[in-house]
Amino acid sequence: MTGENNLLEVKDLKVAFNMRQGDVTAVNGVSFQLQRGKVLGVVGESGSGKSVSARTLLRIEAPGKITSGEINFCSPRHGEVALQKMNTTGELIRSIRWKEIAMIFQEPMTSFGPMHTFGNQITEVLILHDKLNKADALQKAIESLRSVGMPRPEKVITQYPHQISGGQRQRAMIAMALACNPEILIADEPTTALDVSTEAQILEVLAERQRTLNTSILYISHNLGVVANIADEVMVMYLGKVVEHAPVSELFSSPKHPYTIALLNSIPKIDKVYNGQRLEVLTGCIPDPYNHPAGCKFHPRCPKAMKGICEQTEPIQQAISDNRSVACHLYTSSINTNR
Amino acid sequence: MKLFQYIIRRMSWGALVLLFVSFFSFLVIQLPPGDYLTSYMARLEKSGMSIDNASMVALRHSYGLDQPFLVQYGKWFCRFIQGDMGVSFLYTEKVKVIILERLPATLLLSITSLLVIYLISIPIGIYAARRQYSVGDFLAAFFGFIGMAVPGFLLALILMWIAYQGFGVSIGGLQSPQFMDQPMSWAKAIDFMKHLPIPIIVITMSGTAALIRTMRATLLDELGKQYVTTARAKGLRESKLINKYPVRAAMNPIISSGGWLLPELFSGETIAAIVLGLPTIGPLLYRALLGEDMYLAAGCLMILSLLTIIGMLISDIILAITDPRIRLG
Repeated sequence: MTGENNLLEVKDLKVAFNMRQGDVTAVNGVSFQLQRGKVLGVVGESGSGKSVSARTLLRIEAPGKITSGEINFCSPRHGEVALQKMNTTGELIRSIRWKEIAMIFQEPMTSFGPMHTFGNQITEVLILHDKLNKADALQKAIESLRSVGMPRPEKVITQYPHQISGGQRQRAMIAMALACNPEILIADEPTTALDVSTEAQILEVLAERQRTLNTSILYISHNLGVVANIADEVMVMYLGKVVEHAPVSELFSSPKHPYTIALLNSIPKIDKVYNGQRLEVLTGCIPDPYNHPAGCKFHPRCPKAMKGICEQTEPIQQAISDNRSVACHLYTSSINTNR
Repeated sequence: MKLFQYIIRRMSWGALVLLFVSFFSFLVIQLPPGDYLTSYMARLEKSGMSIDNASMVALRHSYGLDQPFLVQYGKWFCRFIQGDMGVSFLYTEKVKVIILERLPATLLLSITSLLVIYLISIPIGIYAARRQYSVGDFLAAFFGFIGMAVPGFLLALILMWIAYQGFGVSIGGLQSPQFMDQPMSWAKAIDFMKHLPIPIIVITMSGTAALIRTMRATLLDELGKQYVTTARAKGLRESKLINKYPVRAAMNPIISSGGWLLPELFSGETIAAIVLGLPTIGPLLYRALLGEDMYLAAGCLMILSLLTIIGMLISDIILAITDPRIRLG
């Protein structure tokens, strides 16, 4: 794996779903690296392949299938392993799941089993991975709940999911995800279903964990504001592809890809005087997943689409500086020689 | 404590339901024109005898059949709650004695059938859901639909013929004639066990088929839920996580189905029991209704309702114990 600090490296990953109406390539050649102790934000509209990419890291992408690409993970216990080659029900991937790569899921309402207490569901991972006995696991579960700011954790471990609120449930989910001190924490829109103040508290918990334990976080969101808060680097996805990858400050100060620019423009700004002018919106919607446009997948919605180029060839992701890359013909110098 | 209150509440509802059932079953039995004596007279006339009107009136009076409906019901109900279910016209014996004679066989067959249904349908349902659209799933569906579609009496006739031709087992009943009035012995028990499979197969067939479909559908529903993915992401073994989370949740409708399966077993077995000559309550009720033997019919209906209500109550209690959302919600 290139780079000392790389914990995870994804190369040209493709994940497809066999649907009755045809194949859908939900992740279509995604590459990125996640460094130790860093937060990588993943941004995109619904259907851009963010969640599927994240699930694939844990190999719970089914019914999707990896059709090509590599996922190399620097496992503290197994050395460098190729996750894409693993049997999804095998011993090896199960020992990595939750212990080394854990995930916070999007729906706090349904991500816990309804018939078991929080104590049961949280201690389960501690007993399984850390080989704790029941009493120790329960103690650790209480500590873990307390560390994410859950009030009265001793009570919560005896409660069932339907007995506490969505925000508290998401806290319990985070406590469970952090219980085994994973190397990588995947947070798949963890605050989408929550109110703003709970969101802020949860972001603070995650940021603190990243600071104190050097946990790497893959933070998936469609909310650019949240990502600006927490991420070191941002990856913008559109229709299963990474269109732009940049350090967070640069992405916000000088976005390159028209899609990123459009996303940023669609956020109301507090210091801008609108004078009755309408907020810019991204026109059109995500194309039919069974029938992607030819060439650049964004060209039908792109305000800067160049006729004869953008609908013909698909731009490849190219580095435009040391730590930035973008997939757009506007920044492709070699476009004319290619044609 | 909450569970205890819940049980008390359910039991008082059960008593109320029983009261309604008694009233309506009494009413329904009375609805057809005529009464036991008219059908009795018809039978007498068929055999060439006749009875004059005066003695008819006297008979009717002595049976209490000339009184208004509500009076008849009230008298019957007062005696019923004291444990007296009246006398059967047809059998000229106490209804209680007749029913008690048939109750053990009825309970044995129904409860065994219920257990057999659960034991067969739950594993097959789980298998079919976990391997949706596999060969095994299609086979389960195929035999399931056949099981649902074939009428019980036809199956009973076929199985009886096979048993007689192939294994030389005597046809019908729950025991061979030579053991009828003998005390319990090993030979009698073995003979009884030999007679058990056919009625059990006939009675359980459609229920099993239906429950396989229910189990499969509910489990498929649960398997798609987020918490299953969470459990998988936690690194649990696939079979363990499936049994711990979605199967547990999918068991709910199965447990509550115990409530409606029981009356279905009681009434559903009637035709099969007639064909197979089983000494259960079903055929008794059938004969009582045909002969307008109102006390016997009402007695049978009350016992069947009581068993059903107990069955429902048990399944509700189990449900409350297994599902925290019901217990604590």
